[in-house]
Amino acid sequence: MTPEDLAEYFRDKLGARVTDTKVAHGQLTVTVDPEALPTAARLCKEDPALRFDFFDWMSGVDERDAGFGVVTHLYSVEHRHHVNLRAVAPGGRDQPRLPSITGVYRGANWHEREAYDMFGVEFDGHPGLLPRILTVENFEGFPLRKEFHLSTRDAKPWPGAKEPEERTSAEAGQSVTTIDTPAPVSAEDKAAAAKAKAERAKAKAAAMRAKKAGERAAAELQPAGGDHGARAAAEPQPAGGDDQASAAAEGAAPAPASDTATMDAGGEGLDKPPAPSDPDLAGAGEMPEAASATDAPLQADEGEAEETRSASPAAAGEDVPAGTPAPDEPMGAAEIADSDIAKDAAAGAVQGDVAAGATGDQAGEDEPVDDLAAETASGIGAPPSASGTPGVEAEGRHGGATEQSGDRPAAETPGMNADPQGRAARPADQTPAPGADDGASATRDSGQAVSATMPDPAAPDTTPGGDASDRPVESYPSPDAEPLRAQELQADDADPPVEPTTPSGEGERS
Amino acid sequence: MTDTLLRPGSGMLPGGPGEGMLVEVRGEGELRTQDMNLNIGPQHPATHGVLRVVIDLDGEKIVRATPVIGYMHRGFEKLAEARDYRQIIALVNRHDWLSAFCNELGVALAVERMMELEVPDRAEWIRVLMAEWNRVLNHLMFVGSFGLELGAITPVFFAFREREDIQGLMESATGGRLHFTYTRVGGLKEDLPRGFLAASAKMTRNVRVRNSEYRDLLEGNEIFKARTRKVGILPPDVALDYGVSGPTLHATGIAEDARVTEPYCRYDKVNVHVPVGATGDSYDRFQILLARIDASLDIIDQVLDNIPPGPVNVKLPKIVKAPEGEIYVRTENPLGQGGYYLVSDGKKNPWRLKMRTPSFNNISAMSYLLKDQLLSDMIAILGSVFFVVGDVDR
Amino acid sequence: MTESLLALDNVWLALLLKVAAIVGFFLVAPLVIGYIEHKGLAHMQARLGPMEAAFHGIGQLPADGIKFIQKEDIIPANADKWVFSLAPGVALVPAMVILAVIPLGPGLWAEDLDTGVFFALAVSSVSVIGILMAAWSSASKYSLMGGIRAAAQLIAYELPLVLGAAAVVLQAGTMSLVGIVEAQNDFRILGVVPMWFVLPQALGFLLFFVASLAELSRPPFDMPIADSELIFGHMTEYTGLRYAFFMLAEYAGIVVLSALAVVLFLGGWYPLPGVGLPSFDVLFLPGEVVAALAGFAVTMGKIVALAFVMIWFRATFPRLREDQLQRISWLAFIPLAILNIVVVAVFKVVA
Repeated sequence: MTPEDLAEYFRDKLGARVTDTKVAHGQLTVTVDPEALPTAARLCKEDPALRFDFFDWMSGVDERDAGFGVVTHLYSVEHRHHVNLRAVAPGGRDQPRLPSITGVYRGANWHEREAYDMFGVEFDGHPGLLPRILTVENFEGFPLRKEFHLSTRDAKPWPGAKEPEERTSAEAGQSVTTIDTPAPVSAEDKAAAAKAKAERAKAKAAAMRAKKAGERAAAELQPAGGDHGARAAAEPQPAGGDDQASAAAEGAAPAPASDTATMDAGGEGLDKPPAPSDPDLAGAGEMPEAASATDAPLQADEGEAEETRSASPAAAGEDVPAGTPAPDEPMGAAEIADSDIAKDAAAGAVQGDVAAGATGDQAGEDEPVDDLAAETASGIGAPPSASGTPGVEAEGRHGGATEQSGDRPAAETPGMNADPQGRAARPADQTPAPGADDGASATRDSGQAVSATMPDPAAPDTTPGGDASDRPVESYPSPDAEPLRAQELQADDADPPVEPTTPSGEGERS
Repeated sequence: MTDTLLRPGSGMLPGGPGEGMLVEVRGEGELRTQDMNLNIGPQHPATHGVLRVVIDLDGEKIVRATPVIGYMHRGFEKLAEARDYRQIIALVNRHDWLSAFCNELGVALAVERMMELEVPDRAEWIRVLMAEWNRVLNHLMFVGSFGLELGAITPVFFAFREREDIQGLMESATGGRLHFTYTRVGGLKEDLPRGFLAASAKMTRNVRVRNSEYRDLLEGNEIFKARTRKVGILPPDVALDYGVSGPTLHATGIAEDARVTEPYCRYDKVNVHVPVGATGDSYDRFQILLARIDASLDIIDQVLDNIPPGPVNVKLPKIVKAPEGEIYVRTENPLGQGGYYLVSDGKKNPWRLKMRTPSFNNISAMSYLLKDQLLSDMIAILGSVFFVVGDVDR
Repeated sequence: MTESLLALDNVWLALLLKVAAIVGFFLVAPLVIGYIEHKGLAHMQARLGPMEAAFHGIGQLPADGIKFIQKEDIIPANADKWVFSLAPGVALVPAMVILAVIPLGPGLWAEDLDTGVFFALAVSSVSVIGILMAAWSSASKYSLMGGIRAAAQLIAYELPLVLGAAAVVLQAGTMSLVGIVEAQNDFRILGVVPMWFVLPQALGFLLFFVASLAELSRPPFDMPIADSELIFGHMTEYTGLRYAFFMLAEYAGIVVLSALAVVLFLGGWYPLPGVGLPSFDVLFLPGEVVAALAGFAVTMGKIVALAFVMIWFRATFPRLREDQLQRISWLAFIPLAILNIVVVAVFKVVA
């Protein structure tokens, strides 16, 4: 049966209990009434026309306001068809409950335990959801819910939240507390680096002050807010002052309109040679990645790769004082690519091995490294491994941002908020529900978020330090991807047009 | 029959050894026996990793066995939600470290299908090639370790000899020995190095010869047969019910293999032989493993005959975003069916990435398999239901 | 030649020398076997084995010994401390005591007991008590299960071992080990062809050898220590020197039981059936000593050969299951051993 026929069959058999059927990518998803899940499962297993005998997996899905969906994937070995049996747990985000299908498929046992462990969906009739199957026994919260934050993301935001080019275009305009001006000229490198360092230190000090202020405020608040209030006040150290601090730290990065911001980490961006908007430089910065990630065969690049690699620290600009004139790098690479060795290797590859598909000998054509070529090399060649570096280097920006913005209209204090926070906060406010609702549900569910609803009384009269009090750290605000949407849309617009695919994959390495 | 559960502390000898052991005294009038509660793992040689099996023993017979997992849970699914699709590829080859390539392939396929991306022919062929080498690599590991658990200490050294060679081969192409990270959305990291195909061809011959040695060494061994025949029989319907897949399922006689039933990459262009067993016991499972090595080598040979020249990558936008929607992609991983259920909300990181790992389902059937078996047979069963703990816990 | 070389007039000096010789042999021979196991196993498994400690890793085992001495000696909190500390000794000493009666060459024995076989077999089973003590006192379930398996194995395999030896005693007509060696030298098949007892007693030899493997917990009968199930059984909780004692006991056991098998079935110190040892003077060495040294070399060669077979088994066979082992013992080995005795007895009476 085709997925469409299957959908029809399900509708016939289950009638109104099928609330929705959807076929996408040739895969059928049947949404059933939660109550009817065991019935549907039994039908799937026992109906001779269906015979879904292979229990594949079951998984929760965070469905935002609707609560949590649970998708059960079944497969028929006999008929070779699949179905996603989907049910949205009633009870919203607070008390998601579903009937268990362990009576139908024995394999569902562990999968339901996992769904409980990860999403908090309870299954009626399950032989025992506890002890929690994957997390530790006293684990609080349900990790795969969107309001659950990765602690690393709280500590340090994810740099990969934005691609380099997104960041530059978006941030340059909005950044409020950009401490440093466009990257200095190379002669002033050291001075600028020192300056950035000083700024960072200052920012750190500010953060410390803010922290102390927060603690003081907390101490004062204790009688009023009780324990929770105190916790709420004490914990959110990222007070206004800290906002500033982090903004200060980050401010160094968004060197306006320059691709050097690839290397995201704070003032380090400064250490790089200058020339914003110079695509050559951009190429230099990303050259190593381009070299390692291009599609050309490996044969030629033993020497080449090494060369580029050795060039890379300087080009990448991490901590390494950029003594080398960066624009040389792409040239160098191109030269190597063009060198006899490379050509020989490439040619040899063609003869020696059927494998030699894309060859490096096209590289020579790019010899006069023009800006466009370098740009191409960095931008297009890089994608595969470009993913690696930022992710490894540090963690997202927006995680922390949303975290701090919480469900409070952060936009109210525009002066204090650096741009990521500000921008993140706005969409958070606009987004339907998750923020506030999550806070509430999380309160009941995990107990971690107890503080979420508490701190209001403290809010009005506190200045930077006290400001923190109404931004409970653990409030699990809106799904952290959410606020990004607006941002990314902008960024998308700003995206350079996609480079046309070269049919043979040649010439990507220049 | 009355069961008396003595409190902890009232164990074997007050103040003496064994004090504090939880014992259950059952039976009255007849010969009274005590069930012993034994923790196999989390650190135990037979659980290769940190699986823990809590067993209740009546003598050497297992009354009840409860696998306890999660000691290695690293929250890959959560981490994946905070990474973009390129980074996820480097992430997913880590949970099952013995089938790294096959895992990353699954994610790449999911994203590609969602984006409706046409992957170059050569890249698809190389994917098949690498996936099969990875499969051989994986199976060799288990051929060795299964023998080791049964007390035959030699096969593991032999198996590792071949693994070294194959790892070297794959390293030459991917740069990695365990975590290859060779797949990319839309193709591969780079083309094969020169001489790879020739080396592959040579290697298949070697491994084939060696594989028959293992067959002689273990399958022909009377003690090995005595230890594994009719031990840990898994009926086919139970296997399906638990979602058991891979060699463990094939041993029950069901030839369900995604490479055949729903071919991905270029598996539709090659002839995939799926060996199946008859009884579903440990011996069958082991035989399947050896037969699958041969089958994989056959596939590799076919790939070597057919691999076309051409590019191995497509150009992608700077930001890879899967369109909104959901998709499930399943692949036949060395340990069984691997699957990725990807829910995207149109951003560059997934909204939800469910990893369906073969080991999780396989281990969930362990309670069934271990009941009423002997303690020694537990080792044979744990060794023959092939799993990787990282793959269970994710 | 029924006198020990060390049967001096001064009894105390003789005793001292004997004890020194036994202890020396006891400490060195297991190391030799251990080294052979290291290298033999390694080469069977396509690797080199120890290579760094001295020439081709010859110094590995002494180095290991030094390492063991340095290790912390841990006694689990719940352990029965006295028994726990005593157990390695109990396992170790019997192997040493047996050496007192085993003739390693003409005149190379400490004591030629009239009941040598009886003594050797009786003492050899004491080491299992050491294992049981270790298992019980460790307060570990793995150890306990290992100990229980060891006990069950002892009961099952002591019988074929003793019955196999009994057939030899029957044929030789003496229980003295020296006497048995001499009897083998005198034995002629059909009164013509000189042969050791290994041929007429082929079945007995097989049973004895396999049973001694089981007694020693050597693969494929290493269920009591089964590293992949019971994590070394009774040795689980032992560290440092005490653990080293157990290892020493194991290898000493290999030496001792191989030596017993050599003496009972393989003609002791005689190089070939019906061929004696050279006993002429060489330089300043009297013929007696020359014969003793040559005999010692021959015996050691045979012991090493048997030990090598044990190592070979270890590289080849998986482990049996405890119930399978019991079944083999009670349903096959013991009936066969009794049959063997009956056959030997009939021949003895008839001949």
